[in-house]
Amino acid sequence: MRLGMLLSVAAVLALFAFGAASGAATRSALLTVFIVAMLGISWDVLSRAGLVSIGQGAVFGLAAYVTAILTNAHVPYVLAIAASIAFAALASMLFGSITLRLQGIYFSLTTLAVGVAAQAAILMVPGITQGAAGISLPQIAGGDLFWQVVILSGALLAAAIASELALKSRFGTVLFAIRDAPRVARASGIDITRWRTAAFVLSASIAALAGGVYAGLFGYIHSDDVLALQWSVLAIAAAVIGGTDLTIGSIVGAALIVLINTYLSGRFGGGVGQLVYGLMLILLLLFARGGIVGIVVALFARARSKATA
Amino acid sequence: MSALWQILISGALTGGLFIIVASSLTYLIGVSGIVNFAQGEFVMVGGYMAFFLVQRFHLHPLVIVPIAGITCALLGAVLYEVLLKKTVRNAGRHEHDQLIITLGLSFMLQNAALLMFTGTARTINQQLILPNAYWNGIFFSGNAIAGCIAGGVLGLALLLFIGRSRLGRVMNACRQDANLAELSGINVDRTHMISFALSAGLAGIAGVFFVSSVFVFPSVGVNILITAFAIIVIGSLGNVAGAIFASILVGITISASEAFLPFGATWGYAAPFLLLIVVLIVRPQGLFGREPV
Repeated sequence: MRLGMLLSVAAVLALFAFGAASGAATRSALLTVFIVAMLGISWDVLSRAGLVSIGQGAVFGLAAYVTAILTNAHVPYVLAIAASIAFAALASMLFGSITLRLQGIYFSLTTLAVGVAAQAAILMVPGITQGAAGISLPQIAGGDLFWQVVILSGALLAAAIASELALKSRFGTVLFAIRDAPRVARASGIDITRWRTAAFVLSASIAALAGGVYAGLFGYIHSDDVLALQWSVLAIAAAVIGGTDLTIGSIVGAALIVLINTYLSGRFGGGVGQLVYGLMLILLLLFARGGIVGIVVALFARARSKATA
Repeated sequence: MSALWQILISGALTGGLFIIVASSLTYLIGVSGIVNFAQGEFVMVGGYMAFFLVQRFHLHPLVIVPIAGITCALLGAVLYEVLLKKTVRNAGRHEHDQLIITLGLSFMLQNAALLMFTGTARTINQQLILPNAYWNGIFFSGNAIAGCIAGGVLGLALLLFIGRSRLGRVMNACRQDANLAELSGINVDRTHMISFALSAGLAGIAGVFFVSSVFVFPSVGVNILITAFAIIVIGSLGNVAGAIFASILVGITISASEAFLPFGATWGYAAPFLLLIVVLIVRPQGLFGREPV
């Protein structure tokens, strides 16, 4: 097995073991780590194709709504999540075939606008979404925290494996080529829009998986929460802080962000945690593009070269 | 008939409020290529300054205009030097860094505002800059008219500045060929810094007129930013005259969708974003752009 896959699987198992061994308060904080890690991975998949999305939260929130509406119509939970992933994949295919022709900044703007428009759209169809009242649904595993950790570990594991497989296949190589040498890629006969659409669909499916499982964690969702801009920023922050072009990066980033957020917000009140991880996001991008994982790898390399010298 | 006029006029006035922030955003893209996702937060900062200066010291809003403008310009200059200078130089290699950094900055400023000012929505719309007026049954909000006039004046001044002044031409030169500009003895870094500071200062001024007409709260910047983005994409990125025209167009779209569609208020909120999506799909280069993007 390759190192990236090995480390990602090990990281998920470590999170699971930690969750299994800890108490209720730590477990519920840990649930957020799984969700944010999946969002980070979904953002990273797109970033590998040179696309900066500010709309991962929109896919996440809409998938949470689809899952909630279907479970309320007595569709079993697993099928509801599968349906929300299918919905996200289909919608992103349609949406992507139009918007992915747009260059850099125009694409990012569209994703940002979709997020805000989605929040308004939820309020416009109260017959289906229950509008501003939010929507209640049965909790996964009857609200049992241990089984929720088990289910979220499974979901994150699936996302991490999908991301690693995509990274180490021809798919991954093509995406990097499109980002780093678009002209060469085009000259080699690569259909850029088609491959980018494929990345878009994979990314949306992972974000939808995160939204689907999130919907059932608390038994209640509201558009002000699940469609908040915060989720889109968290996706970017997790990937950039942990390290981009990697799967393990988003997992490490998510764990660190939630740790900072829980500790600081518990101590100083809400907002302080966001301030700190926003600052970390900027500083790492400016001074250590490889993120935390990049720093660790550099330290190992230095230690090894010292040992051999 | 007068109902229709009311929709057109209040729409134009709503749009007029966006002229300053939209022109400052599009001008910055035109002269430096920086797409600033934190522009809405400069508006928020200007708005809060106006609110607290009116509340504590009872200053007249027009007196606050230069104060807010200068404060935000200084803030912009510092942020440019600390955060953006490096990314502007590396724009060729890591073109997305700027986007992510300004987005991170926007998120930080929102949360800093939440900590300092709480989430309460603030306004000084009781403080009339110009008197409200009724004419043939149509209501004219004095403060919105003041914002509109300020937008028109500052927008035109910006156009003249870019087209006619020496500094404006230097800015254009830096954008078109940074190496050649550098060779001609122009300090490219400093020029971009001045462009950014000017743009931030204008956004701060826009904040004073915003809080005079509507509400300001910590996350208000995102809504302002997306509406302004819709405006400047419709008016073609970098085109200040286009932004002024598109501001009025988007304003009328907002008030018309509020008036004619079910769930009016929600539609008014969503209209600029839907308009943005439609424009990006149908004509991403905007109404005044020639080359496809």
